[in-house]
Amino acid sequence: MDVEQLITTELERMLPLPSGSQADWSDVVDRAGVGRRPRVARRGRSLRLTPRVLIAVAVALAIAGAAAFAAVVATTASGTQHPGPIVPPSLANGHVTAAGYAGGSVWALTTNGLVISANGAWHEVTPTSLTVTQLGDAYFADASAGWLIAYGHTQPDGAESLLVYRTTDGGASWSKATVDANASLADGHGPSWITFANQMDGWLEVQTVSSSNFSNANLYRTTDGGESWTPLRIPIAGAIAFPTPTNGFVSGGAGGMELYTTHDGGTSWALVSLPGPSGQVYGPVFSSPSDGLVSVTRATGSGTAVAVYQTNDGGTTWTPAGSVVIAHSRGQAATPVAGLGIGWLAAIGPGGAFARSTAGSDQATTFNASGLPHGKLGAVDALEFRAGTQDGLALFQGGACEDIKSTCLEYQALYTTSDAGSTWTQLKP
Amino acid sequence: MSGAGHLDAELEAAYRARYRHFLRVATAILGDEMSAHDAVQEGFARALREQRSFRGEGPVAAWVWRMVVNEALTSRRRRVSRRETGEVIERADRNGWPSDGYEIRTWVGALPERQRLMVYLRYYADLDYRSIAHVLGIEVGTVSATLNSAHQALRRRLEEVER
Repeated sequence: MDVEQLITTELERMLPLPSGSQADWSDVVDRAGVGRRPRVARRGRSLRLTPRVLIAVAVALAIAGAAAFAAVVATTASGTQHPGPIVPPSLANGHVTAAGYAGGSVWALTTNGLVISANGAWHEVTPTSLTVTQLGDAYFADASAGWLIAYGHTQPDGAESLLVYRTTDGGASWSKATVDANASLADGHGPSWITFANQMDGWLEVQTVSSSNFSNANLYRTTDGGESWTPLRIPIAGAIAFPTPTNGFVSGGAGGMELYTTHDGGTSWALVSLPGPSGQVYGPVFSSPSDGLVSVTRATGSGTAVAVYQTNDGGTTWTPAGSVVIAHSRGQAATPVAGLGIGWLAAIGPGGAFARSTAGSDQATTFNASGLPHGKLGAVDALEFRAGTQDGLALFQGGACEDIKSTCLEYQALYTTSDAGSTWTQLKP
Repeated sequence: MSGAGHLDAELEAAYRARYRHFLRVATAILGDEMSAHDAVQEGFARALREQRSFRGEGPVAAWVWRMVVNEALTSRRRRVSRRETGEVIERADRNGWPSDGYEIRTWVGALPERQRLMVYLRYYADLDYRSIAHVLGIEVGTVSATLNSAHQALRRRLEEVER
């Protein structure tokens, strides 16, 4: 008897293809919002797109798609009218979902993998491995030393393992370390973050799956450059920053409004109270072991208030460094902020709307940058500047619809500036 | 290479076109359709959440199949875990199959997990060997060898009955 035929017949008889209506796709989309986390920022060294802005763009796209989008008129923060539709930038080589500086170079995670710029050209440096199925976050201490989070199906039952690849030659070669074989990821995982205080002391965080009422994550620490990792506890899931091997921060939580600090490398954590009202926290981002910034965004009766705080003692104390009130709503999204050596730059969105502090004071002025896509359907989602310079990177999350019947497209693009955010040019890894 | 925005559309298209196949495989793993529906939805939701990490090493459909299968396996592990702690789980027996006396069901349920999973993907999802390899992240030759082992095991059972 033909065994395959028997299996086919019997299995079909026992479990026919289900009939009847299927659940709506919108249920899946709703589920995808479960357990999302707030903005990413860590030590001012890299930047990444954040789900809250992704959601905001998706909602805006849905609204735009429902209306006759071809007639949409986009309004920038200053009120300037720009006729639509909005054209996304060229994405010939894929979307950029994370990026940062690697010494004098720039690294980027794209849908093609991990790429690094060198001598004006981009080179893919993705580790080649049969077991790697997904890439997570990356961090480069300089042009040579870097680390990359990856997931691999190394278990017989298909469960994922958490891996870290590390390079000391700019991605030409990689060494693999298994951080977690599978136990902690049995229920899946959310976003991940990796950061280093120096080339030996690093931390890796993976958000675990939970309802949106909770914000849980697994934290791991290495003291040998990423060869071995030890699990630690962390009070919330969110972006991590470690300006020194002992002092660190995590911001986020279920509502995106919490900030915790550690003074023992992540073993114990304490809640931080910033001066002023609470709100969505971005950062902190550090330009040195002592100097850092954090932004707090909250809705007010007259719009959205963005307050920036600075520290010059590694985060022990925080003082107001300026604030702006903007007429539009940022929804539940925090405000990306980056240091400019003296002063700071904040992406108050949408489009290219920014606030910049006046050097040496706590006053801030708003302006519309050139070179970024204008309109409501998009905003800078993350910022990073080279310490003490006017050179920076921005990840832009946007959306565009060709007309009412077209599928709306979300896109992520990388931009660079060399004049403290006044003008931007797209980088195409 | 698909961008993240394009992946949204591809995932939705896969969901609409093959939902019933996803549901059938998840039902085979879990033993009941309600839990299977939940696993399918969560698998797709996870694919939506993590689409930026899709590397394009295989078809999007294979990638989301992996998400759904992993979700179903995880769900079943949780059920087994709860059962071990004393909670009553209805209709979970023989590696997820409801035990209702079918010989072939018993035989398939007794296969090692990897063999059983491949049988589901081959016969319930109607995936070819290459697609199964993409789903499970293994070589095509491994799929062939594993399914061959499953066929041999079932053939032995069948011969025992016929004697």
